[in-house]
Amino acid sequence: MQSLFFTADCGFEAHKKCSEKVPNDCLPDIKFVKNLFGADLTTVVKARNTPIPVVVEKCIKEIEHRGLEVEGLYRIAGLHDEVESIRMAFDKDGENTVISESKYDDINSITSVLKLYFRLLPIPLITFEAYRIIIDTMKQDEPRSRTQIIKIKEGLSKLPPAHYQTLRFLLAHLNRVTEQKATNMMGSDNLAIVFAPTLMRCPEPDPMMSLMNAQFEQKALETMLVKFRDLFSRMSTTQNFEANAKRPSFDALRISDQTPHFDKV
Amino acid sequence: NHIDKFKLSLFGEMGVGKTSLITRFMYDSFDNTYQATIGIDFLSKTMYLEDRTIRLQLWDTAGQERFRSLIPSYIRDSSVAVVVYDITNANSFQQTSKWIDDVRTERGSDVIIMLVGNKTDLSDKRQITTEEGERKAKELSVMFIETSAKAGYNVKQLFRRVAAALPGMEQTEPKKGEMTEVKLKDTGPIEPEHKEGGCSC
Repeated sequence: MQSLFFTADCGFEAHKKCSEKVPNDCLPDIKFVKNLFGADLTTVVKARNTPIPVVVEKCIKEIEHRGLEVEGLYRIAGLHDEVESIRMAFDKDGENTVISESKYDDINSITSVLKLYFRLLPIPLITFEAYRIIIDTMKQDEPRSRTQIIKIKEGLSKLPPAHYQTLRFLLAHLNRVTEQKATNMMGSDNLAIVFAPTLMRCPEPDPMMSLMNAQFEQKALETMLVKFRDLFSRMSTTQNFEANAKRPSFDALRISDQTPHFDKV
Repeated sequence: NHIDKFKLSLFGEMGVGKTSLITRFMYDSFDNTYQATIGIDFLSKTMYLEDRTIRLQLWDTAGQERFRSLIPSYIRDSSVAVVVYDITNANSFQQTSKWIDDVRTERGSDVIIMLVGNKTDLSDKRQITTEEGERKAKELSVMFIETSAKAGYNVKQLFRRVAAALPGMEQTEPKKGEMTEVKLKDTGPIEPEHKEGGCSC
């Protein structure tokens, strides 16, 4: 029988019919946030008290550890069964998930899991609010002009802190992927084509609209990759970022601007 | 003089060579830049066959997962579905079953399906034998060919064989009057009533 009660992420219970009156600003409790895939990014990050989602951190670390030279990295799909198995493992084991090469030897399965994670987010990494501002400037303003950079920044400042940090972490990684483009063939333009559809979602339900926007989404992500330092330097974004940060723990995030390289284990 | 128009859509995982097959067919060239496709592209080509002239509209779909929900709309008014895999990538071969299923679900037997094993120039990296490809094609009752868009091998034959199987050709089914005519809109790929699945993005 279905429960008559609604349970919030923090464990707060209310009658289902009263639940819409419950404010949705609680501090989530890990035992009520079961799955990683398909769960709200901010909720997962708060519940697990990590700066960015564990799936993102672990997959990126693993990919960098294995090397970024594989041709078509992030373009070629992984093995379907492996992707499903990794996804289930993450939902079950969280930060203890093992995704080492001895267990899953196809690097494309790891890249596919990362893309799948972003695609399943209920609120896209680049939220609808930020999307509108960013796509507007891609349509209206001169490519990579000062005006455009300012507007993209403005869009990014609308992101919730956990989204912002995750995006910054991801873009720093993708820039390292493009550094190997001579071997992996994935320059910022190509990487943006395959990645943009996982990070941005057209707010209009019309599929034609979504198709038409695809090229602007691609240009937006390419610009973010190429202009990464201008867009994400701490100096210029601190103010916006602090204004957005609601919990002090986010200030303690340490994801360096200097495109960090992970320690090789 | 009336020219029959047919819509042909290409499907398959990312990086198997869908765009490259079209580029080879259209311009007889190969682009080494390894550029992924944004959204969906379309091109037209007139083919002069022995007994008639047809116009093929070639729809190149991006392999990206997010655009998958658009696929049914593309299949719905396609006369031909070309499902491509990369002979050096077993996963891309496995996934062709799913693509073919999707096409059959939408169109039943009212469509020509061609399974294509591309990249035969990379024979030292081959993971899928010609026999495996043939077997699957037979099991699923679809046509089969191996190609190399890079080397220009069998690409013309691929499109010629498909064209020969189109309705209205002497050697296949008898003519059924207006049944052979595929009506296509010149404007957009998606008809407004195709709404199931909601926002595809």
